Amino acid sequence: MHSPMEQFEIKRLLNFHIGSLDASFTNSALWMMVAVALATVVFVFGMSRRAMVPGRLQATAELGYEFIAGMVRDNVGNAGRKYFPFIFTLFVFILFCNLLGLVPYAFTPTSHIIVTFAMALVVFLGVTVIGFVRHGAHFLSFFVPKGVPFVLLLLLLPIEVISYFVRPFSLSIRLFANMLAGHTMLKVFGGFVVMLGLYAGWAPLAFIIAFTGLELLIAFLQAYVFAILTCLYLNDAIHLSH
Amino acid sequence: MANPPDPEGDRRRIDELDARLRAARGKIEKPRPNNGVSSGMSHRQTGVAYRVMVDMIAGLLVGGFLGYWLDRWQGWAPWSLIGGLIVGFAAGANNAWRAIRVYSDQADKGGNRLP
Repeated sequence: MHSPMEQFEIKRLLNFHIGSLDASFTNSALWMMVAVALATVVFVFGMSRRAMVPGRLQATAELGYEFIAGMVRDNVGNAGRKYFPFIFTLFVFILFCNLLGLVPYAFTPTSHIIVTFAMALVVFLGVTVIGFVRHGAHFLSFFVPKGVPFVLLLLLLPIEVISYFVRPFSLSIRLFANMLAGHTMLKVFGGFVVMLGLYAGWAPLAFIIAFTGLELLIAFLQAYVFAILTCLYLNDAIHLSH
Repeated sequence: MANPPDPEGDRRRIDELDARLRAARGKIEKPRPNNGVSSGMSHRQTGVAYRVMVDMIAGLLVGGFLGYWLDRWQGWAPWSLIGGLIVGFAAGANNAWRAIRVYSDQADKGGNRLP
């Protein structure tokens, strides 16, 4: 009997060592590359014909573009247009990682906190740098709530600062926890199917089918949430709005 | 081709097509905001619910970790852990409150657009 957590195991496919650094090519890296390659294929081949009446692939590519472009426009405004390529790449990468993870025998890179945390950290550092570049030291006023007496400020300032530093953690935990929980659940119920056998195994099998549908929704929703939170953080940094 | 060259007719036809396109666009654009709200709303609600839950947990985790680290570093055990948990909880609640406020502001305006 396989453990439900075995699917998250990192395996070295090619051994690589740079000095003391273990830079081996793992199954996680492989599936990230598959996601990148597949996304590139969908968007490059989808848009290669540039038909007035789009085919299926082109319609998919255009839908994704319009969706994120609308999100950036609605949440950041015109100033956010510059950052659209980054947010779009982030969304597509997470979406493809999540969706590919649902393919049997595939590995889900986004179920590892180090992957999601690295992405969240890039967003966090990038947004902070953008805030400081656009507003200089004035960006620090972001941490000072308006119209608060000085005594209360001593209490609120640490809370505001910690709220800000919680962002990369909540951003990464959200994505990773959803992926981890969903895939573990699928494996646990898959184990039930085997245990209950031919007679009673159909009930958990039916559940798995329904749950896979939910997982598809979550795969999309989590990519969406990651992208929209990036937009909101960017909006905070650009417009200094509380 | 059977049609003789007819620049006037071509221009007229293009103008006609323009007018028809504009009319068709007007028809399509109008119901869009309503569609956006009704179909976007449920996604947004689910998104906000996820946000609030994880924001509070992450606040506690970060505050607790900072407190624990201070304890180890300065030997203030267990006081900075307790203080860190309290501040972390407040920070998480603050983030959650902010997410809810943004969401309810948008719901009040009846649209899903930020100012």
